[in-house]
Amino acid sequence: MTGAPEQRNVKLTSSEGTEFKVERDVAEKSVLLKNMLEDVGESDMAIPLPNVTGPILQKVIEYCIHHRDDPVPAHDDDTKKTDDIDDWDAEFCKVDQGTLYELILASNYLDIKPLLDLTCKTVANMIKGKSPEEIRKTFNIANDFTPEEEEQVRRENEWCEGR
Amino acid sequence: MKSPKSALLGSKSRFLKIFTKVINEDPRNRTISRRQLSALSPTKPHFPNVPEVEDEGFFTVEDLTPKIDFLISLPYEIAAYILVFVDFKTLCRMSRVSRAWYCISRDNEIWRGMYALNEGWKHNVPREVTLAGEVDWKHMYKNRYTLAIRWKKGECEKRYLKGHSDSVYCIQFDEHKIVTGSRDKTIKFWDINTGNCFQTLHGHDLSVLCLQYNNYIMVSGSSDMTIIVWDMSNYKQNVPQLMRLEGHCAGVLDICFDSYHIVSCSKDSTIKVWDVQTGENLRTLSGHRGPVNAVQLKDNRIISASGDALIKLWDLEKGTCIRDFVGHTRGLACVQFDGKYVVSGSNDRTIKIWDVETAQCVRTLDGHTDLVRTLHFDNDKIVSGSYDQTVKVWDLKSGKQLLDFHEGHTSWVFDVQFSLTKIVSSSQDQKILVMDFADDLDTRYVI
Repeated sequence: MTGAPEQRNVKLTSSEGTEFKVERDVAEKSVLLKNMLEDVGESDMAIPLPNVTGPILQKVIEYCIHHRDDPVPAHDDDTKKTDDIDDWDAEFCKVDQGTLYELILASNYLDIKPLLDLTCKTVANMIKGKSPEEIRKTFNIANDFTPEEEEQVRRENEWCEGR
Repeated sequence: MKSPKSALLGSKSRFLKIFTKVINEDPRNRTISRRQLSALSPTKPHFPNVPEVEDEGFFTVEDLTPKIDFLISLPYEIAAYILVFVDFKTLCRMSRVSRAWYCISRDNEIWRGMYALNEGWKHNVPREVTLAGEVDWKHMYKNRYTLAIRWKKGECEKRYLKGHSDSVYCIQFDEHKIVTGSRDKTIKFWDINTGNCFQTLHGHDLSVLCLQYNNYIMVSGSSDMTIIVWDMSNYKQNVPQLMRLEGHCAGVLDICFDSYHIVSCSKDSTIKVWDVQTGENLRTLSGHRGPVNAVQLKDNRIISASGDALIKLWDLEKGTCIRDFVGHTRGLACVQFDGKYVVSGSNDRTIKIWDVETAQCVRTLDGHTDLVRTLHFDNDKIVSGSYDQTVKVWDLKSGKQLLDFHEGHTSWVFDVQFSLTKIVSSSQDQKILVMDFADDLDTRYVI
């Protein structure tokens, strides 16, 4: 083989039945789709994605197009840092919590590790540096501890504070 | 169909059982397995919770876009993956958010990974204990972290061991015992936990100046010019003498041994190498022009420090001097050697760090105001004791002074040794000082 392989379009169908056409290298950012395409071979059949809604699939495709030329991440490149998010990615994640939640599920289902990392880091950044009360507010979580439990849990975690 | 609110309550109550179990357990063993938590994952993502509007017609300026309790809404594996990206302080705060968050933020695997991220935080948790899931890694982290903070701040519990009736010249300790040698001619064994003296050895006719032990033998040197090899295999009951090595014609100032050799140095300016099995004097190394105050053996090389202001590196087999380390302006009192660096203390009041291969002084540490009598170092730090009565802790890499203990002793400090959890020092004031940084911490598996 010589030169770049011929780009073919891949058809994807969201949960509502909306069809999306993407170039194959974009679709292959998803390990799930990459494996499917390898298994299926040449086909004009649309791939149904019943777990992903149209608007979310649209976002995922937008991400994959922007990152289409990124190198495949090294196998054990598990960076635990959350301050390495670039401007485009940060802007991409400025969505409501429902969308972010759906994006996490979709990137997990479609097996797009960089997007899963990005979305999980975004949630981690929403938690970091906040007091328990601020965290509850951020995610609208009810404090279901009894006063005694709350005091016990506070004391139990005192060691990491104020050093 | 469930209303959003009841779905939320349902997902939260799933954690109640685990929460109740865990919060009531002994904090040393409060682990939650990932399998327990995974079993609580929603089979389907549950309906995101919507802020409750208490009152019709009441409008707040708050963000009213739907909010989601990500940790309990996502499948457990993904929730746990989010935790990978937060730091330990955040993880602790997260456990105070709600019962469900308490359970998830205790994920043992996450804490194990968190522990492993800290360079130098080693542990010796037995494999079977790990496999049985009996290690609470948050508990491990807490104890190891607290220990590190205490070293940083110099917070320790001080305790004195009293019993010798004269200066205490030398010490060695392990997790069970402290062994000390004194000008009162005895060697004493102390229980490191209770501080009780449980063994007093008589054998030397004058001051016990130096000692070293392992599980099998102890070798001690004395002003009486002899070296005694003791049987340590049953030290709790008795410590009989195996042999007495004679040959030096002045006090034996320092000794060390490995599996094959005993090396001793003396006020008579020589260093002697002995067969550890037979006690035969294999060779005598001459070259120093003053008393040899300290000696150390490492991989067939000997390092020695003398009152003549020189450090010498010797080939143990050939008995020849490989090189001199020149730089101290007055006599040397102590030296230690880890195969790469040589660290020495001198009557010129400084500590010097040397590269063993080039014999170049890498760094000079100033701070003591009198002779630096003793030191001990590991990969990170140097602990030194001086005739200025202080014990100081230094950063090996930067040479910065980290800690300074002024009030431990009321006279010259003769010996100092440290471990991950303690500094033990001895002095002319007849006391042994134990500074315990791990007081009330669980350091079972910390090494």
